[in-house]
Amino acid sequence: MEKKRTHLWIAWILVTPVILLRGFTTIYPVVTTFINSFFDIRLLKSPYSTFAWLDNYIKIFRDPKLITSLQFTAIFTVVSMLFHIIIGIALALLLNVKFKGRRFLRSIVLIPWAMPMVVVGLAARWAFNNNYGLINDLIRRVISSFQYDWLVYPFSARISVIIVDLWKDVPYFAILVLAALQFISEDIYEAARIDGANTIQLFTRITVPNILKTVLTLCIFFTIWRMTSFDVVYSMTSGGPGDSTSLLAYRIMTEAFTNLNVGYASSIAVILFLMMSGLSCINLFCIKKIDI
Amino acid sequence: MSYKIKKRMRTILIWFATLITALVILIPLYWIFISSITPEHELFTSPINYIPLHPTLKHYQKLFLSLNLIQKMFNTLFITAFALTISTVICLMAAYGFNRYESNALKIAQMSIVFSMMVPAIVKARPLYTFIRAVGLHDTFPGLILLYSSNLIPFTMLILGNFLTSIPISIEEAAEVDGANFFQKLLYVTLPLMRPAIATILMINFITCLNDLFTPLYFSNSIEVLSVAITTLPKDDMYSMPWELISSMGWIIVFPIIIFVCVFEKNIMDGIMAGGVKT
Repeated sequence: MEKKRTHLWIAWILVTPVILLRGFTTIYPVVTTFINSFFDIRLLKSPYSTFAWLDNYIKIFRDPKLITSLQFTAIFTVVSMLFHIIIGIALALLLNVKFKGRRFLRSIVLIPWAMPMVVVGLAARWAFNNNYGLINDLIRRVISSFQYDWLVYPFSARISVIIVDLWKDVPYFAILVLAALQFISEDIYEAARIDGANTIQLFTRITVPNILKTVLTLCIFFTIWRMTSFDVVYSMTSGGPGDSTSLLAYRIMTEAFTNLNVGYASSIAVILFLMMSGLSCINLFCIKKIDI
Repeated sequence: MSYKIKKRMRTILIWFATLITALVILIPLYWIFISSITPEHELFTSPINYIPLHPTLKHYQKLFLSLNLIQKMFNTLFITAFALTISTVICLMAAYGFNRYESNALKIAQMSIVFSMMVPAIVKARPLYTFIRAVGLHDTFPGLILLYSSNLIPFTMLILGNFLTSIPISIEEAAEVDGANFFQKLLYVTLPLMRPAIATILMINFITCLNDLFTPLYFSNSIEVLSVAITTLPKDDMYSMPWELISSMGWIIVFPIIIFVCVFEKNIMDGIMAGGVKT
């Protein structure tokens, strides 16, 4: 039978709580952020706000701190996503193999996903310490004279942040890719094998086309999460050394809650939001193209 | 013969990859654990002793006795329990409304709720903060519970909605024919059928609540939950890090999670994948 088209008032009563709660915590703040971005609101200076046209937006491109943030956010997102896809798919293939260690492996892979990022980040802060950290200790077991303070230099601090992000989130990506892998029936592989396809051909001709759509869809979400990552930097580097690892999200929160520069923070948030939407649209367009 | 060798090679390769994955994930966890039971001064030694020489529980003792960890655990569980209950109840209602009735307005509302998942917290934070403060909910349990519940809604709606669509309407119609009224039908027919989806979503949402740092960090000061409390552990000076306390507190948070994940591996896996495929 069909869904009901009568007694719609019952449906509206049922959905009201969700809509109200979600509306107040999403639509209202987003609209306000958008409006605030055109105002000069500096709570440290005065409690009043004045209309500032596009001043906040112009300021973005003149603020060296922000340009550093933009740069690192771009690098972080691109590099991290690249490795998400490579390691994630490899791990998903491993998770999909039927063997005795499968349950063990699947439980283990869930652990990083389930751990709070703060715990991971704080542990990483210590793990990348030159003298007493885990990373250098493990390296010293091989090269005994190794000395390097990862979080002191911008370049290596950035690498460290990306590594930690990968450790925490690649397993989750892999599990979601696994969902798509499980839909590919074993028969197709069998048929291809009989036709003489080798392992590489099986992967590129059967596996990749079948999971491509899922992987691209996942990329939308994971890219957005990378672009708005906050926890990792907050707990691991506090944006340092200098501002080299302050991701946009961290920058926005510092401006909005520490410097109380609300108007400026809003305009960065709007820019970030627009970039995210733009990327998502491009991605959606690609997915549509594949469908045809 | 060569087929056999090939098969053995494959098995070795798979176990090797499993071993590497396990080591990469487990070594840091093991290291956090041993750090938590190593006396303070021994943490500042290099190389690290992977088997602690003088295991001690004094860091845990300090956390519980002088840093009031029980209170923070209570806060976390209290907020999580309420948020889980509220979000599940209102999402069940909404999922029923959205999936059993049809109109264009309803469809648009449903889409907007699921898509609101893509709006990042940082874009909303400042106005939301001002709003929550203005209505007097800042730094209160009701305020935090509402915000936590709201965070859970999109994913919960997605999972429950998908699951409800897979339950045939004819079952409900049969109940109606048998004389059940609207509430009886919902309570005795639909709800019991939803049980597996509810169990899964509760588990995933539990983890989400536990991991949330952003909400408690900006929307409360005095009510500390575990994820915030670990960042505010007392340190000797600005530049040092109380690693002995962080590692023991980290382990207190992580250990139950490890057990939880190992026990419910199948449910959680299915839940994550159910959400992933449809989105």
